[in-house]
Amino acid sequence: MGASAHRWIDAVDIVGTVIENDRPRRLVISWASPDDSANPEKTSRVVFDIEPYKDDAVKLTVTHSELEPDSGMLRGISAGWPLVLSALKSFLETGTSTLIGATQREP
Amino acid sequence: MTDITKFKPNTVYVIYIASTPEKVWQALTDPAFTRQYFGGFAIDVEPKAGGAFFLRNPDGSVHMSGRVVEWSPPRRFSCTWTVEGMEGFNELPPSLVTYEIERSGGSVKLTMTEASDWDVPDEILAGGRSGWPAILSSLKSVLETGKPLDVKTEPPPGFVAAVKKAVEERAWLRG
Repeated sequence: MGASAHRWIDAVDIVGTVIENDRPRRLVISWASPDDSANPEKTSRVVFDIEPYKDDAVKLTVTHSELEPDSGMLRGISAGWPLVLSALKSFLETGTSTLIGATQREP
Repeated sequence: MTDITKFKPNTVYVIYIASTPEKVWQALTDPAFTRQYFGGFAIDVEPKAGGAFFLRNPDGSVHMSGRVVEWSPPRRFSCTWTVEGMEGFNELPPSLVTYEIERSGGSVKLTMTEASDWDVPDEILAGGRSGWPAILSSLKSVLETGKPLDVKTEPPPGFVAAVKKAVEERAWLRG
């Protein structure tokens, strides 16, 4: 358990707390904009579940819940996760990823 | 002919691929590619709207059949799907699968949307929702590394029973 902050691209800062850390199977964190970090209504929850898949692959499931309906955060993460996770996969499989830098943020 | 204006999306999966729209189109529509990442199935498609569409087992028998609704290389490929390879499944109404390919910076954004014109039970949707991420992840690996993932997906628990129940009840005729 402990507070942490991670900087994502340039303009967006997300802050959160580690809720569960069961390496290498499961990580649960809270997730909010810095301005909203004291507001439980605007704090969401991200679960990473990691499962072995066949012999040499991994199934990663990201579940982002407790989001405010129609919020900018919901729109942002809906566009963002497929991009970030695609880049993660490329990075692990090829050692490089051009996906993040190459893609403009969606409105 | 199926009235596609009545179809509503129930599953959407987005993946970014370090490739070109032309190569992603080829990976989706060329049997030599689909055999690698799509459960061993070979696509067999008549390349025009209204054309016949099949996914074939290695022995040539039909696993999935349908009709092409839109064929716009290299941007959009849409077709109806009926599962033929599992008993009873071909009595379910077809779903509509659409691939959209867009440039995104130097990469490609591929969006797969599966839609239906009836209220599909969650246990049946779970089949596609577990299958598509594995299939499309493997497609991405083929294009970026030349090697597919070892992903032969199995129907999730409750899937076969839910299909049987829906067929018995003619669930799509309700409402």
